[in-house]
Amino acid sequence: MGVARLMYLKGDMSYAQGGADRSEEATDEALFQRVAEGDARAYRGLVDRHAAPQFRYARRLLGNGDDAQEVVQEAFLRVWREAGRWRPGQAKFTTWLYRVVTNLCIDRKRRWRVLFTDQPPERADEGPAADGRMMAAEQAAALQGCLDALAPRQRSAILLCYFEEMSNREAAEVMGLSVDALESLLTRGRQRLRELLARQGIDKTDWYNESQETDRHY
Amino acid sequence: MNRKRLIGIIESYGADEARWPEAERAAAMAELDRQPDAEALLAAPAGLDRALSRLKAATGDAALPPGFLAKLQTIPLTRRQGRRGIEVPDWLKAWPQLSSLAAGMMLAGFVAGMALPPQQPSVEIEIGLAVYGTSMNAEIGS
Repeated sequence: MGVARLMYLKGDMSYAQGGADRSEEATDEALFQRVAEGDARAYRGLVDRHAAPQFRYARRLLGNGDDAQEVVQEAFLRVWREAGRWRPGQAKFTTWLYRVVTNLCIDRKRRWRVLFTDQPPERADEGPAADGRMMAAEQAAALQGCLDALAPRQRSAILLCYFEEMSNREAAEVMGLSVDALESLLTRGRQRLRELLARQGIDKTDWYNESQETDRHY
Repeated sequence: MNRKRLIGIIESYGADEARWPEAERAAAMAELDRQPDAEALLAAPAGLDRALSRLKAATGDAALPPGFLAKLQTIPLTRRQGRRGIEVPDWLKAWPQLSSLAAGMMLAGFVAGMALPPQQPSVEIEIGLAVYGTSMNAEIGS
């Protein structure tokens, strides 16, 4: 505690003496290098930039916010503790962080495999789906349920490419896969998702089919 | 680019060309233009893309739970940093391959040794021993 506390204070002092907030302009990689030197302010700069997107990603991957908090906390603990092992020229900081969060989420899902099946949750009301009048919130919940029912690695591949807007190479690097293996996961994930959506009746709704009606929900 | 690869791209990345691999995008779009059933190829993947986009819009702005950011920022106050990793020289990083090579050479030597017939003492050694024995006898006799 004493050493960490001293480093924390030292980091703050060096920024204070320098005047400008260097964390505003520095790249993630530069901040990560400073974190390796015990610079707590650089660490906080990385938290400010990346906590929210990583939380959002982990929540989508895990399906709930409490687990996502635990995963993101563990990931940032590793940012602080393992910064010294990262070398410039290796993966970008964001790729490294996404990889840590992805692996933590997938490990967590594997441990709970008995609790998860590939069946989407039952919909309480079967009525409105087929005629496309499902409310936006219902459709979102049903679709999220189908996404949650995918195998963790398929879900992760889809989230990285569709929700995090990564290129195929970036997503493959995060998952530690070749691009071919990533494509295979995406193909199987999308096929499975379409089957699940059809089973839920979402492929008949205006969420799936082009319609001006849906856009009014937003 | 051919039809099979085009379909593979659509099945993996969806109907939106912006998501297709950059290196293959132009060729895939040209291949799509050549397909008489292009619209049908894109129809179902486009539906899934639309549903995913709408889910993203509906769930995109999840705020961090209250106090969570502050909790993350206190980590340096409570946790020590790990040690820096030891810098390993490049040549030492190849030790698994080198050790395999050494083990392979030892195995090959052992097999070769077992396969060869037992060595007979050479004629030169026998003659040498005989000459040495004769001279020793002569010395003892004298």
